[in-house]
Amino acid sequence: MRLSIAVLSLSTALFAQTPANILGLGSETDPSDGPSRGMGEAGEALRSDRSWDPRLEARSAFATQTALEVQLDPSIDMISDDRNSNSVGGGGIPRVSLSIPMGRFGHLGMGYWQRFDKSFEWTSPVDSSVEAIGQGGAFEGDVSYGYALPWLRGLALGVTYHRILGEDRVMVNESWQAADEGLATSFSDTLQHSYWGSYWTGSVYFTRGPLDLGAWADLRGQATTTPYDGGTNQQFEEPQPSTMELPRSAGFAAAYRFSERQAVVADLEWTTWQATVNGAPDRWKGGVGWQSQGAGDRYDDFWKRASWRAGAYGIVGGDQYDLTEAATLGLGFPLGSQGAVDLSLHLGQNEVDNGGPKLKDTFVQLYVVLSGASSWGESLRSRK
Amino acid sequence: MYGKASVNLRISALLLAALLAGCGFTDATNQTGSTFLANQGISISARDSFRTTVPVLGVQVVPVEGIPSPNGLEALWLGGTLNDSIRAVVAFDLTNTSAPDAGFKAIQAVDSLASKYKLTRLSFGIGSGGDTDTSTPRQIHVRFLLVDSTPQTTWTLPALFMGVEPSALGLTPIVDRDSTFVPSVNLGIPFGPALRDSVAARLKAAKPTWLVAILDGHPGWQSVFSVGDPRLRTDSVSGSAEGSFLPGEFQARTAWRSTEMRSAAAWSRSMGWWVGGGNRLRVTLDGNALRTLLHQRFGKGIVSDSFDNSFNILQARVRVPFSAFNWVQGASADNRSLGIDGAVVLDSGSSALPTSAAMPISIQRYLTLLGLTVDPYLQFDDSFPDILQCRYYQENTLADVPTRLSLGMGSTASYTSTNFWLRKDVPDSMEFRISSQVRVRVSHYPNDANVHIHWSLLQGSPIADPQIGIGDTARPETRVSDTALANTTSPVVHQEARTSFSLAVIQEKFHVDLDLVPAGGTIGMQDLWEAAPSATNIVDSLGLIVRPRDGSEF
Repeated sequence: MRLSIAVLSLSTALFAQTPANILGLGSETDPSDGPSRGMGEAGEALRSDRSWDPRLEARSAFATQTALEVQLDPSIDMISDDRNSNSVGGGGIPRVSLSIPMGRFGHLGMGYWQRFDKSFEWTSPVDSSVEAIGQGGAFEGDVSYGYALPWLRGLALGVTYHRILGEDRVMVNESWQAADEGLATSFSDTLQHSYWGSYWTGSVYFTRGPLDLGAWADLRGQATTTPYDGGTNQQFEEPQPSTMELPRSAGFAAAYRFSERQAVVADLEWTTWQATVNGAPDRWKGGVGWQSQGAGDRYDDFWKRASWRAGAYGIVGGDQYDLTEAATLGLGFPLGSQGAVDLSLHLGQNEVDNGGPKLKDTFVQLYVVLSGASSWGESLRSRK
Repeated sequence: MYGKASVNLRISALLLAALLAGCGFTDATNQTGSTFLANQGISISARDSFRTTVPVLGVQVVPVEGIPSPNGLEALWLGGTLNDSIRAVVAFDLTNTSAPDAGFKAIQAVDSLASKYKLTRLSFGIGSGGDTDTSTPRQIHVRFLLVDSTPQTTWTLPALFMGVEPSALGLTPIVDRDSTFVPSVNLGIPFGPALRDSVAARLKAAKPTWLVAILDGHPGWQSVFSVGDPRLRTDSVSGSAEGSFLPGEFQARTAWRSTEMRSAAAWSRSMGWWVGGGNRLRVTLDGNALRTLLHQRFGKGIVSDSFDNSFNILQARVRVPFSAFNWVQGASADNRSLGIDGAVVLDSGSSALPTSAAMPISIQRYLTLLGLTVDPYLQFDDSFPDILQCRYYQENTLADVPTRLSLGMGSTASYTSTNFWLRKDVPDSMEFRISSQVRVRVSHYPNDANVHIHWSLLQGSPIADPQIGIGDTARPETRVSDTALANTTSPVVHQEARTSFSLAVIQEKFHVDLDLVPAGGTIGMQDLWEAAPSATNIVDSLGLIVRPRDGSEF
């Protein structure tokens, strides 16, 4: 049964998305953890014993459980422009992470973050034999270390190393077959980019009583981009790698637990794109959210153990020239004694606002986050 | 209640989430965002079709690819077609004691029996392929020569194998007459008393001697026999066969070879496939003119220093008219296949060097590109009368070079080693490939003390486009045909060549050679044919379907 669940879940991933993904490096995925997805992606600061965020590593210095988290995000986009509309299925695997608390030695985190996504499909309305396809996107391999300062109660520092890598490509495909030919000839024009670079993020986290606060900032980083042109019966110049400045972010997040199980969260993130994509405006993303934490007693009724979440977020600017508004609903429930499933439904819309032809897509996105945790890595004594 | 109910609910929720997500709600195709994508550089221009002439830089007639085989490697052919004679040359080493079979040796051992069992005729078995009519007598011209087997005179054999006339070598036939020929082990070509006695005297005197038989088929035969197992036969007084004498060996191979003796009226500007050779037509496309033509029609698109990526050539149908077509009558098919392939020529060089030159091909700087670690070795030997012997050696034969006559054909062995001959009394040339990417043409002309080398480095192996039509068979109009085009003797071939013309348009610094290559040999060597092109540029017109490649990124 578990295998069938895994197969079904994975089969929903990796479908096409909106043509707006062709802009810049592609649509940017937030690296939020599973619970935060349901809280307007604003729950980075909410203290947790198992969660990890590649930007705010400092929070994980207070984690007590080793946790593996896998995220899937099947989605449906209703795309519209000034002429017509359509719906496409989409999805991907935005994040896989491993969080390892090491007791007095701090915390180690590592993860895969599909940060950019360039996937889309489009068929020419004037010639159905021609289609454009986008695939892939630059992703990150992250390693982080956090440490709770023993002499300042509730304060932790963290640092994350981000390795940028991966490839994206956009293809224009045509299948040509003359009336007297028995075989079709495929013409495929491809522009592919490979990425290789790195940057660092520093973070600070403070938790005391009902209040959690976190902040992070990226240091300057660069990536080498190599474009590869390809085409049926075409030949091109040798690829010329170039160096680009990576977008830099800084953010602040807060959480306030106003009752034993209730909390509200908020965050604000700023990213500068000007050095990366010429003319791209700064990107601002902000969100708010709420969570009702489920009961921790494993013998309680199932619904009492479930966590309920809601939130909203908005994005403006960036290399995607986004104007995004979305509402989120989340449900988290335990899976066995140590696992959890967090489902988050995002409903929202993106608009491209770069002064050119309009493109808007309304999306319904379901994040399916599976996580498992244990006390591995800690001695029995420290668990007490 | 708590445990079981919650597990089922969780599983149901997971399954529901998985099933609802994904492509279940997806429309068939997404055509939304056209103007948006066009603004980002992705738009689709309409394709256009038109017909134009083919600008060329030059036209050459070149030999079919491969190294002409020396003696003993190919089957022995005899016949006549295309107004040519197909000559079979067989040499018997009369001093080679291993040549006679057991029966003949027994006769030879007893002198009285040798006088009783006489050499009577040259007989043949029937080889595979070729004409199956073995009952109709055919007129041939027969010449028998006795050549002293000294080193100097032995060296005349290659010239005879290549079709040089005996008179040019100072040789006088003992027998020189017309005869009738019925391919049969039991019948064969009678010697007559003069030859019989001459051979017997040489045998008895144990004088080193080659007996060379030169058999010319009549051009009017219009058919080809594969004659196998040639032998000098001894008959008893009663006429029954008693023993035979087998061909000798020259340069470690059986001393026979067939060659097509081109008639004086043979077309020099033709493509065709014949015994021991054939012609290709090479058209060097004028890429600049093609680009100018397309730019005038569609505008200039995506151009860099080396490449013009402005167009996708979806279709490029070449029209090749022929003024005449000649093929072996009675063969199994009334059409002949040809291929059109193209290759980008990256570099080339020509030189005229003394005929004793060694490795005159300056490709050393391309060895790594070619996958070679040792220089190919090509050396000429001018010590043979009236022919130039060439030796070729190549290590690390990594590529499968498809050639017709090469000793190394299809070889992936660790080395290729062969020798071949060029006639010096007539213009003669051959072309072969080194490691699939270097074409080498060696030519020699009468009274020229030099051998001429032309080599070219190709970007890759020549590429031909599929010609498959409906029903998964080749489109009829891709062949040279005498019936498919209303029994005309001026057939017109239409072939697809989109890859070659794409290369010609794309490459701004190099030109593309388009080769029209004859195919043959599907039934042995019987598929002999020749066609004379009528257009000055060989390809008289080109039907193009072009779609401009839009945007700055594609």
